[in-house]
Amino acid sequence: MSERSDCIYLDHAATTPVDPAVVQAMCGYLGAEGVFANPASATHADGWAAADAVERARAQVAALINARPQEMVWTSGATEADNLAIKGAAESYCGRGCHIVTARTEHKAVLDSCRRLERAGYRVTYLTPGREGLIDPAQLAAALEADTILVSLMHVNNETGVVQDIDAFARITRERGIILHVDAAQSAGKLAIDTPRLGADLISLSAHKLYGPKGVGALYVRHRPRVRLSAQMHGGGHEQGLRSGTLPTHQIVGMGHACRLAGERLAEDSDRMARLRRRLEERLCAMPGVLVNGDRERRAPHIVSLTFQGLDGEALMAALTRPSARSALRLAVSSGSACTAASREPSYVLRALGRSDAEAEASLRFSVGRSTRAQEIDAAAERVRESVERLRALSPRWTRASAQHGQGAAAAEA
Amino acid sequence: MSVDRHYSDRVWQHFLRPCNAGVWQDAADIVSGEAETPASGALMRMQLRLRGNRIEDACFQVHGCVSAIAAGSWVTQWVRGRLVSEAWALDAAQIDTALALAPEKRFCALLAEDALRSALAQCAGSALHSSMLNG
Repeated sequence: MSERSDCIYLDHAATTPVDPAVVQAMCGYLGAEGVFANPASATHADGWAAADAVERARAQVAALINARPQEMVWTSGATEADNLAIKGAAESYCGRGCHIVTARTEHKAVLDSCRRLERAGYRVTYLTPGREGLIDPAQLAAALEADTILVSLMHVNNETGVVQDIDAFARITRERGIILHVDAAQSAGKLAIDTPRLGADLISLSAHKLYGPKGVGALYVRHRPRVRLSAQMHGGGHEQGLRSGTLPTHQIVGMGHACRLAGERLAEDSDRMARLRRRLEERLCAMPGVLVNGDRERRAPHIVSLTFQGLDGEALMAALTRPSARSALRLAVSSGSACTAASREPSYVLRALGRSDAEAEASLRFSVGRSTRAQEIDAAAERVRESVERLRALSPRWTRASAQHGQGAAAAEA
Repeated sequence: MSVDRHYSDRVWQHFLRPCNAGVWQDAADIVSGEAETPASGALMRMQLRLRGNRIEDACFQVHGCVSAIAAGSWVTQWVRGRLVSEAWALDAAQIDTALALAPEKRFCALLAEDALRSALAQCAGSALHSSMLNG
């Protein structure tokens, strides 16, 4: 446990710890003393109790996005929800057309589902956002074709925190009878989602991004007008035949509980997170050669992605995530590359925003959470500043450029 | 927790406390060299302070990863006090072995070797060593 106190966790967009109240609620649905029965067991009271718990949780999840409980389908997480939404809608509406629109900055679960459909004969248009990471509604309208059946665009980008104008997208798709799928894994619990107003037909949710357990998520499937999906998981016909498989009662109870808490705390949580994120951003952007990735205004409260010029991304990540010569403090943050020592694959999201490979690699995503304190933000900012300055002092590119032009201009060259 | 599954202890210690990091002003007794690995975008600069045939001191800068920083640090430490001819004999394999680089980081040993030889090539009479080495 001593190691944890040396670590500042700023990776809440990757996952969050399960809230203690959620853990406690889940524990009642596992052991012999608890409600462990199969919620599909209609023959005994234990099964009914489990089914009741599942339905209470369904209502709690639905309430977070102001949807009806019967419109929620349990999945194993947002990835499965994305798969079910995209492949399920594409197969179901293939009689109407075979064209799909998405964006290059979507999550891999969306992009890989679309790739799979391309191999099956569907056509997919991948929109490129502007330099600020935003998709222009006019751009979406222009990409639609006579046989477009599905549009999949995320609410909040997981790497940059940029918030897309889903309302505007929905006005366009609804007018043409096109299904709109929205991955809301990063926005649920941070931004208020009013489903009837948002106008999306399918919405993917994840529990573990909002202090619930990993391994459970949900897909909102609009009932009026009804969206039809082909099941992607076949078996016992659970979840109105859309997703077979015994329901994990404890996971579902956990997600329900987490969504209820998220709803109750939403205003307070997002205000606090936004303040902390801005504090971090201000501290770090006071250094030369630091760029904010994505639009400065249309942003989720908890995420900021920064590019640090004049240094190598792997070295920066290594310097921050392990104890240094001066400090035992480690930061848990995400990098701008799917980077291991073995492979350097610059983030396709940052590349799509016009960053170079080197810039994308020298980028960090900081994401704050409920437990983040202002004092941690200050300590983290100081730790980043110290590492950035140390690595820049080592860089012949940075020192040369700043000797010639001063530090501000060095940023442009290094 | 062991420091890492990505870096050897030696690499990590050099990265945390690099030896001989810095830049010197040009002077009559100083030679400078540079090398790049375009694929990774790394750039290393190495400088040697000479007295006759002996390398009195060395320094380096690198824009690169953890292993590249370690390689610059190790090489500048190794060459200090050695003869120019000895320095010509140092190769990437030795750097690699000394630092226990991960296989995918061997390019960092080559980068340091190239930077060193680029500096050595500026030494008086170095053409001879260079030609001997390259057969």
